[in-house]
Amino acid sequence: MTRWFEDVETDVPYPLGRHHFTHDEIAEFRAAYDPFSAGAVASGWHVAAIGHRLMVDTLAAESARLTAAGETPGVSGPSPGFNRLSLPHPVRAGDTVAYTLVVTHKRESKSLPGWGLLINHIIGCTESGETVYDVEVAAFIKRRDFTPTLKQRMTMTLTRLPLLGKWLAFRR
Amino acid sequence: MPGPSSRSDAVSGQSTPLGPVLVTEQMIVHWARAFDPLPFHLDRQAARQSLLGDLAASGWHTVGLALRLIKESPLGTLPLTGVAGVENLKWLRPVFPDDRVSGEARRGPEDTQTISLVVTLSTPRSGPVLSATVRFFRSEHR
Repeated sequence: MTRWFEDVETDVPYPLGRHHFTHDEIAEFRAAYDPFSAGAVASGWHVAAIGHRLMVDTLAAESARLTAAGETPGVSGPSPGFNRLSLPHPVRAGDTVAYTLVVTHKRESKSLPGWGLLINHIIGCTESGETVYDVEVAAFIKRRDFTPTLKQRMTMTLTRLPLLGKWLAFRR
Repeated sequence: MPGPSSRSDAVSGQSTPLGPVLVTEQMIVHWARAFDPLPFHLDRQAARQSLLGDLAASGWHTVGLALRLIKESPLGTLPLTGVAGVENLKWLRPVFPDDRVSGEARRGPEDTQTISLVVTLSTPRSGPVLSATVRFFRSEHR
């Protein structure tokens, strides 16, 4: 569903695409998820959700490109969270927002063997150049060059929930 | 409807209960199709092979649930319009189909333009699933 951890380049801007916010979809999002937003202004959480959607689409496109080139694509994991998400200016019906991703950091995960952790910095800008969205989200991504230790292989065999087995065990 | 005592809780900074809301597979997949079409949010079979072990709600969806639960709680009467930002957000555990999500919120830091709420959500199965400080614009600023 993406590249492998090892192939992710940091500090390179990837355009994620644009989204045109219509009055109808702003109203639909408000009714379903964010009753705090009002009028022609989009919910800030709608602006954030679209940024995430465009990133997922970009990862899927990269995955398809790698498959077409005869390579095996990597695997995207979940996100543990972020420190700061800001919505400095409102997005209004009729605005088009361009989103850009820069991976600012990458490291091997200490808690999940076989996985790496990325910091994905996503910025959204309107056509008038105003920054309307800015977030740095952590996300897990699979390592290609990972050989589990004997102990890790045994744990995987025993639990069949290798990586999060410890914290999932209580519900099985 | 918020009564006088819950209203004063909201003002004094004590915790206000949120929810519960029952999260169905249909709700999880509906959000995922629109905003987070990763296999472990869309398809049970694919999700069982994933890190999360079962179909799980998108973390972005969980925050959407929190916004709705805040609006439906006594805190919903605060003069807030829209999210200005979110700090220290932790997606601690997955939310699975048929989980009942509930939580609490209390008043956090404020300034002339924003009021923040410190929110935690939990499920009986996983315990805490989300913690975050959500900053809202004051109504007079939008």
